Amino acid sequence: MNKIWVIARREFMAMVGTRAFLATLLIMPVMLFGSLIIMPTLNKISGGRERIIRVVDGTGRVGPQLVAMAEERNKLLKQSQSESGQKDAKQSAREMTGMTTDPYVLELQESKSLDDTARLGWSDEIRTGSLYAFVEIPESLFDPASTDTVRFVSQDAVLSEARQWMQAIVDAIVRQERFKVLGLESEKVQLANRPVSFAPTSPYERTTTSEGGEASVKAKEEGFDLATFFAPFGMMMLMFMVIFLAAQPMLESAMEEKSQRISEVLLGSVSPTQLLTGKLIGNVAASLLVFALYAAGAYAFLVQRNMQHLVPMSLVPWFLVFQILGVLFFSSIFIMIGASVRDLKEAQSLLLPVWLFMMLPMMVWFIAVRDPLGPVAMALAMFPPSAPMMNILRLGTGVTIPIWQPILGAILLAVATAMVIWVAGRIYKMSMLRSDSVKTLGQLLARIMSVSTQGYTK
Amino acid sequence: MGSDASAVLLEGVTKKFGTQKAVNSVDLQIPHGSIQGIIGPNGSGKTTTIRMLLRIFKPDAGVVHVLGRTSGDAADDRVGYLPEERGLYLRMKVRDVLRFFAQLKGNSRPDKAIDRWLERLGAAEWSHKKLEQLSKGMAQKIQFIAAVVSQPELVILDEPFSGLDPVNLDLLRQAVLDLRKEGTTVLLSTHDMDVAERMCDRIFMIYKGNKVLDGTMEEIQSQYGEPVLRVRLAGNIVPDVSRLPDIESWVDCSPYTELRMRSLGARSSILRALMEQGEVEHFETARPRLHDIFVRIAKPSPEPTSNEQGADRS
Repeated sequence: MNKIWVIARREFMAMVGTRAFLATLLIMPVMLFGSLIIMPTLNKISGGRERIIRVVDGTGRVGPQLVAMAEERNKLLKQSQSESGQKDAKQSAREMTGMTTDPYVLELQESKSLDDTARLGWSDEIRTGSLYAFVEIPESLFDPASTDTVRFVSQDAVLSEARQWMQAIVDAIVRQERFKVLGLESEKVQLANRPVSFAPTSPYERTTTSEGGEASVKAKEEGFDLATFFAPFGMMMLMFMVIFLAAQPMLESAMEEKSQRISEVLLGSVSPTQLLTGKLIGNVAASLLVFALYAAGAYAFLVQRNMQHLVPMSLVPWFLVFQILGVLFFSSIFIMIGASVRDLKEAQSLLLPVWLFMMLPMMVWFIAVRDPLGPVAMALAMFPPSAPMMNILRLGTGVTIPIWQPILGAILLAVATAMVIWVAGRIYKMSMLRSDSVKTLGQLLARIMSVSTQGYTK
Repeated sequence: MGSDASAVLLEGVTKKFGTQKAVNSVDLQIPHGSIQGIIGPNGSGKTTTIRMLLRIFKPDAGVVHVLGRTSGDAADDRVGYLPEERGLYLRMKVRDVLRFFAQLKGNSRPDKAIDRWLERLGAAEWSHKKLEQLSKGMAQKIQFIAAVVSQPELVILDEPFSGLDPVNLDLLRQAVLDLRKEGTTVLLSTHDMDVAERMCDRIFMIYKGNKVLDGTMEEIQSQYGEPVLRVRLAGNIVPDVSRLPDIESWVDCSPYTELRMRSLGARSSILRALMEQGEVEHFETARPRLHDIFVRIAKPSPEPTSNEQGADRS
């Protein structure tokens, strides 16, 4: 037993005691969630550029209001960016400004319309960058029967946030004016147009008081926000990262031990079973460390944003069960492949199908999140290679999953893991001292089928 | 001699891979505290034999006794092994890797022994370096330390001197000889016949899985030695060969004369006959070198040895 711990300790240190581990630990979330984290930051960095927009207002009444709104927006933006900015101001600014933090400088033109010469000239200014955009508001806009359109001209007109911001304001102003023209009371129209509230609500449940007595029947109202939608995805990705970070070094470790003839020295001291057991224990320990680090980091991130309520503490035991089984399952496969090949190039062709199985939940996560009780989610939750990721994704949705399903998923995964470890042990014994290699999946399967280890004493 | 009297005892050991016999009914006895050389061409069965001693392979027939045990569990910790060239985790630091291998042999507090060996082999300043930063020779020394740091009773060394400069070669040779002095049994696998001849108490040669040589150097030389005498008489007198007994032929290699005898047993009577002809200044039996014996046995075979199991049996 002592020797198993010696091997486990070395394996653990070999995994976590390197700069590469630290680098991968930091790079993995960036790779997977990079856009979510980096985009706002990049926006902030690139923000602050004045967007000059010329306004040609045929109505004579929309333009001044737009200018006033732009000034108000810029003021809020400045306030929200200063350190002393109040929370409310920041919130208002976010509502008013959207993602872009660029101030809008509106230049209201005296003329009521543009000719083509002016249009061409201003377009050239846009191309050279001295002007961001110009807007033509037609004179007839207040006429309810008018079909004229407001024209917003810029290089990024389709995606421009300034266009979206301006469209919302112009729309509101024009509606008010049209109500007047039609003799409608705008308050009444607004009341009539108020959308029907349709609250997505989770099933009711009885809550109890701290003394254990019944208190009330409650249901949680749920808003469709990004956090609710992406939380299960985040948990699935966390599972993937933890398993990947643990399994990949096993491949390299087995390959190194084979190519450097370290296995020969090791097998002179311990049995292949002891060696494999030690390696897997060290591996699981390292994966638990990875989980602890990521979980702590995610929790700190959510606490900072006052979103700790999103942390599903009740899922931690499930996460650990599926993580340990998943790490054992995939690490054993990676060890088996590492022991069977001579270099990384040969390993790649064998790894491809493993990767496909591993990535399967990521290909269907959208379907699974929308319908966690559906056949796709259910089938992948029972399929051992996808079970760790899919079960945690389903449980993370908050939808009540019948308890037997994750239990059955875990049992099937445990059985498959035991089989994979057994096969990996045999393959490991047979392959580590062989100078030939397995190049195709067929050859690996053939070797698995002929798991004769006759001749090996330990 | 029983198994207890020998550090290693192989009795009729056979190991097959598929239909190929890697080792064929081999007997070997290595006395405690001796240096046993194991030689043979690539693919002859040396590595398979070593792996059976390490209990990695189980023989198909025969018995392997190592330090009095036929099962590996107890003897594992008492056997050190240095594989040819490689065998170390390159990304680990020297001290860490030595500590790991010592602990794997059951030595839970190996630091003093590590320091002693690093000092002895002039590698103390490298203890915090990674293996990948070391030269081949330095890595070889570390590998040697890894094999012996747990004070094993039997050390199996596979080409321990490869990649060493003459200074380090002497240092390591002396370390091996010191091990013998301390009572450790050493099994030395080598292609360097000079090393085998100079260092080993006994030589064992395996060829195509069969034992072809086993004995002391003298025994082997007398087994394979040419019955040739090299003699010189004072005053450069050429011996009168017709008056010498049991001479088959002779060659004048002035100032020596080489006499081919009918058998080695005729040496004494020839010496007496020579003394009657004059003062004998030089009289020696020409000793064949191990290198020549090896080459004579292991002539290139037109049939390459196949390896059906794929195991490296170099």
